Order: sequence, then structure tokens, then C-alpha cells
Amino acid sequence: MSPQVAAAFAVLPRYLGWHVALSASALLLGLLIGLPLAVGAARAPRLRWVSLTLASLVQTVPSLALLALFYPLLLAISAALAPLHLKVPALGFLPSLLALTLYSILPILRNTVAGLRGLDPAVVEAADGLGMTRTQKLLRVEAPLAAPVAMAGVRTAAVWTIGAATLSTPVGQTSLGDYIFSGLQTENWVFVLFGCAASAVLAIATDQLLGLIEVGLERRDLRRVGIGAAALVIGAAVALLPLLGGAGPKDRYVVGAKNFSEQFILAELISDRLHAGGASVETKQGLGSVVAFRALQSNDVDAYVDYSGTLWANVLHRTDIPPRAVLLAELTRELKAKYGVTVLGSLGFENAYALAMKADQAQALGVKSLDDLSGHAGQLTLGADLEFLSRPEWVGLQKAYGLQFRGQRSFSPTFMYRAIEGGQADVISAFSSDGRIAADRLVTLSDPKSAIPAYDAVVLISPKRVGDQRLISALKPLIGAIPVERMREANLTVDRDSDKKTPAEAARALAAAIR
Amino acid sequence: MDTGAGVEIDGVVKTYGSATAVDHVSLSIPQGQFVALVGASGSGKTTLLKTLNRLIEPDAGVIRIGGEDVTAADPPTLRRRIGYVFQGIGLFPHLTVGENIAVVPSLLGWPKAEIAARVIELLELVDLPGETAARRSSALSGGQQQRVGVARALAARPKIMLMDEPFGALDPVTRDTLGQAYRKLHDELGLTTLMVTHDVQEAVLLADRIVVMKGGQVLADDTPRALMRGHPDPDVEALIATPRRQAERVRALMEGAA
Repeated sequence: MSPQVAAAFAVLPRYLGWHVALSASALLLGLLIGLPLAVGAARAPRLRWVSLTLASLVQTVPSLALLALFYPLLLAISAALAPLHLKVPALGFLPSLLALTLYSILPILRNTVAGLRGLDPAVVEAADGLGMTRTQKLLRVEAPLAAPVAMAGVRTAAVWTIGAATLSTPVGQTSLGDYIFSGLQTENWVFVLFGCAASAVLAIATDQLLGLIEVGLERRDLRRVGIGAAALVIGAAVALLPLLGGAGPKDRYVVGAKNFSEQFILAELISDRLHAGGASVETKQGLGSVVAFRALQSNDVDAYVDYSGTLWANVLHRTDIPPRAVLLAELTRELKAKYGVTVLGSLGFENAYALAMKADQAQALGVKSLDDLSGHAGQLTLGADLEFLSRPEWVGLQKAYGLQFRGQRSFSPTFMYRAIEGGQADVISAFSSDGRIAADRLVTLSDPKSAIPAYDAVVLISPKRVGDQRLISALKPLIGAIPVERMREANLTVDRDSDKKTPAEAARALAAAIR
Repeated sequence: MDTGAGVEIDGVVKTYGSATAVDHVSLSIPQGQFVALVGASGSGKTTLLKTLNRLIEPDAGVIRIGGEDVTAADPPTLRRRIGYVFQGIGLFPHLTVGENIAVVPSLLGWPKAEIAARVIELLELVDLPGETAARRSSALSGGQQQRVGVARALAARPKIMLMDEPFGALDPVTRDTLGQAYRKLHDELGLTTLMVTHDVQEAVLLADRIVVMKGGQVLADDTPRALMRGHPDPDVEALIATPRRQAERVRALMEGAA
């Protein structure tokens, strides 16, 4: 077995366990809401119209967006409940559960309503004429007769839920999607395929067992219904077993990571150090840039690495660009005062936004700085990562140098490097710590007008862990310990095409190198 | 409530918007009588029938069964004491024939053994073999299905039977056989029966009394024999003319052949 496949299997019990826990809870909740709603909707035309319209409307929201929308919603609810000392987690299981539940309602609702309304009117008249009460009619006649059609809806809901649950990774919920998201970022296609295959197998197996129950209901064959239900319950129980072990959430540290290789490596590095200190650790990977800070601020994440310039612009909403040291000092003070977040210190390297071009093209055009670039931008295409074009830094750059490109395209960071290699972009929004800049023979353009702020990689600690000596003593030795060359090296081992390392392997190599 | 007594219908009205389906109908039906309600579609006969077990609520008027007002009763409880058979039959496809017949006794909470014995007894009563109990209703012919429908309606020993075109969907031979068989049961069990039918010939051959309706009102109310002798109302006359003419032609044919 290749090391990558072995690595994938090693985390399978945890990923699968959470995936099953999440989709099964969402489906059960969907049934609890959908079935009674369907019974009401089958009887009342107005409720039917409203509920089916709303459920269809939910379905038109892309699932990723639906998951993402629950995060600010829960933040707002959490803020509203704060005076009551009630904490609503805005990240992880809850937003994923709510979004997936909403998603599962439509097929359950629609099919159950169709099943109930499609009953032979003579059968319903007989039930009334014989003297059944409303409840008796529902339980003895309508429910058993509508069950096969309703069950088909439950099958659809199950398949959708299991598929969409892979999208809960960006809101911080571990699932089989962790394979896909981290694999996509690090170009670990074995992981991506493994994640897809695992969720597909899970969906197909669930669908087949529900299908067995459906056929059993149709043919009034209780044996099939029993076998199907038992297999589902046993399967779910076995999948959930790995989640029972390990320390409780109380003394478990949660290390966050945004969605690119450097973040994965640093999260592994931090986790390893906490592990070595005997702590139990969990990582939440693939968080969106702003989501990561909000998660830390609300104690859903205990520690992660962010960049001073990013926090300056996106969290403090500052547009001025003070010198590097001043920015860091003021950031540290402001984050503490406004959010209770501790900036433990800089790791020692910068991961700044920098515009980069192919070295030969830059030489041919005579471009060394952004000043030089502004004259040629009209003939060039900019390839940016997904955030860059909406970030204040880009606005600042445009203002300072008057950059007007021929075209602008957005890529995920991995594909951005592919784009410049393949000629779909001439200039990219690179990161200064990226190992691919040197490896792909790119040059970064200097910023003589200091339009881009400093991006020191800083370790952040949540308000809850502010006095946590175990955490602080594990992380303190990292401060000032990682020079940019070391970080580039580590990033490259994960990002390159051949002899790829996993972020965990890269973190171990980095730890050895900086010791 | 003692449903052993007859039925009193007093000034019953049912309107749907501007249309009057039943227009101040009063009828007194003594215990043991077999009454056929006939008339064209839309004459109000089915609506009137369904007000008796409150599948349709009348707007005005009083219905008494055994001297007691049906509007005072809880509808499900009322219906369990009144047999109801209709053209759609409505056997429950997810239940066996035996389970279908056992529905009302089980709603009434009869002991299991008593229900089982009653199912066998009823199958015998409607001339179906005992092993039919274990079969699905979909495996039966239309005539057999309606035999089960009648057995199901009789399961909890009601004294009153409401039948809405009960044999309307069956072929003529089965229809005649079932009609005769039911009339026999009516007599043996001492039932009071109200049967809606648009088939005057069936009404004439089965009922003790025929009530002709039109536009929600009673046009005629008499014994079959009296009606067959003629009626002053042209609508009633038109309704009974066809079976009478047919009967005469058949008789002439038989006599001519002899």
C-alpha cells in the first residue's frame, strides 16, 4: 500500500465516524420535521404551498453557501444569547447539522405529501365510514399506504445529505470532506479520490439498505424491513465507535488551519508539539480566512496561525500601512483590547501578498517593481487567488500604482500556479513564503510605494486559553524560530508534483530542521 | 344509543354554496325496513344517505336513530355502529381480507379470539371460503371484494346498514346474485337498510319501499308494487317506465316462446 493510501486509511475511522454522525443526525432531524409537516401539508393546501415553496427555495441555495450562511447566523444568535450566558457554537457540528437538515427536508416533505395525497379516495372514505378517528386513519391506513413513496424521498434525502456533508469541512466540521478539501489544496489526488470514494460507498450502501426497507414496506414484508433497519443501525453504531474514545472536549485543544498548505503544515506542527506535551488535540482544517479568526474569537478554535496584514485589514478594517514593527505592536494591542485574542508572537517569517511573474518574461519586459509593471499591465492577465480581488490590499495596489490588467481571473491557490505555468495568467498574486516561487522560476515584484502591509505569520490564542500554560509553553519555542527559507522548503515538499509529502510529514521535517 | 330502532329524518337540508343538495327531506323508516333511494345523478340521494352517519354534516334538520339525535354523537363512535358499504368498496390493500373484516371490532377493542371467530363466521355469511381470510384483497374478483366489503360492514353487528350504489360496479350476474344474497342477510339479521341506487330495477326487486328523489326533494315514496302500477308525477313515471316496459317485453317473449 502506498504511504498516501495508508495515511488516508489511518484517519478514516475518525472522518467516517463524524460523517456518519453528522448525516445520520441531519437525516433523523429532517424526518422529525419533515414527516409531521407533510401530514399537515397533505391536509391544508395553504401550508402545503408555503412549506413546499420554502423547502424548494432552500434547495436552490448552493449547499456550500447554505453551510456558510449558518455560520454568521449562529454568531448573531450566540451574541444575542450572550447576556443569558448561553453559548451557541457557531462553527463545526451545529451549523453543518442545521444546513444539512434543511437540505434533507424537501425530498422527505415532497414525497410524503405525494404519497398521502395519492391514496385511493375509496380507501380514505372506507376509513372514515368505518369510524376511524383522524389519528387511527393516519396510523392504520394513510401511513402504511404512503410509506413506500415517502421512503423513496427518504432515500433521496439520505444520498443528498451524505454527499453534502463533505462540504461541512470549511465550517470546521470533520467529515470525509477533509480528504477532499485538504487533498485539493495540496494536490494530493489520492486523498481527493479516497474522500469521494468513501462518501460514495457510504451513500450507496445507505441507499441500498433504505431501498430494502422500501421494498419491504411495499410488499408488506416485515423481514426485509427488519434486516434493512438493523443493518443501518448496526452500521451507524460501528461507524460511531471511534468517536467514543479519546478525551472529552473539555481538555482537548482545537488547532485551526485555513485552506492552504502552509496552514496545514503549521497546524500539524502545533498539534505535534501539544501531543508531545501529552495533550489531546483536534485540528479544524480548511477554514475560510475570516471564519478562522471568528472561530478563535468565539473559542471554537484554541490556536492558529494568521498573518498580521490580513488581520490588520480584514479584522481591524484599517487602511493605513504603518511600518512592520508598528503594525505588529498595534495589532497585538488592538486584538487583545477588542477581542481578547492573544498574539503570542511572530513565527519569524512573512507570507506577504506579492505579485509574481515568470522570470524570463519579467526580464524581457524589463519589469522589476510594481512601478515598472503598471506600464505593461494592459497587455497582461492577472491570475489571483479566490480572496485577493476582494481584499483591501488589491484596492491599495490599484490605487498606488494605477494597475489596469487586460483581464483578471480567480483560481484556487494551487491552480493559480498552474495557470501562470500554462500561460492563462501572466501575473499572479503569489505568497512570499511559497516554495513554488523559486521552484517555478518566478520572480516577485518589489513594492517601492509600500502599498502592501507586512504579513508576519503570528500565532494567535483564543480568549479562553489566554492563561493556559500547557498551550503557551508548547507554542512559545516556535516564536521567531521559522525563517522564511525553512517555510518555503516545507511548503514546496507538499506542493510539488513529484515526491510529495503530506502536511504531517512536512511538519515533522520542519520541526527537525528548526530544532 | 340503541341503534336497534328505526331512523327518523326530519327536515334535513344540505346546501353547497347556492346549490341545494338536500331540500327539507323528512322520512320515517321503521326498524327492519329495506329502503331504496333512487333518482338521477345530482338528485341528492347520496348526500342524504351520508348525513345519516355524518360523513356529510346537514345544515339543518334532525336525524334520529333509535330515537337519539346523531348530531349529539361523536362521529367515529356513531359510524362504528352503522354499517357502510359503497361502490368504491375501499378494502385496505395493505391488510389481508381477514384484517379488513376485523377493522371495526379491533377499533372497538374486542378480544383477539372473538375477532378471529367473528371473521370466520362473516366469511361464511357472505359465502366466501374460510381460507380467503389470509389472502390480499387485490387477489379477489370484484364480486368477492364487495362480499368482503359487506362482511366488513357487518362485523360489529350493526342494526343499520347504509349502502351507496353497493353493487354498481359489478357485472349484471354478480350484481343480481349479490343483491339477492344481501336481501337474505337483511331479513335473517333483522337489519334496517338504506340503499342508494340509480338502477330502478334493482330497487324494485330488492326493496320494501322506494323513495324517489329529484332536486333534493322527495318526489315519491311508496312500495315497489304501488309504484309499478303508475304514478302521477311525470318524472317518477319516466323513471319506472323503463323497467316496467322491459319486464313486459320479457314476459311477452317468454309467453310467446311457450
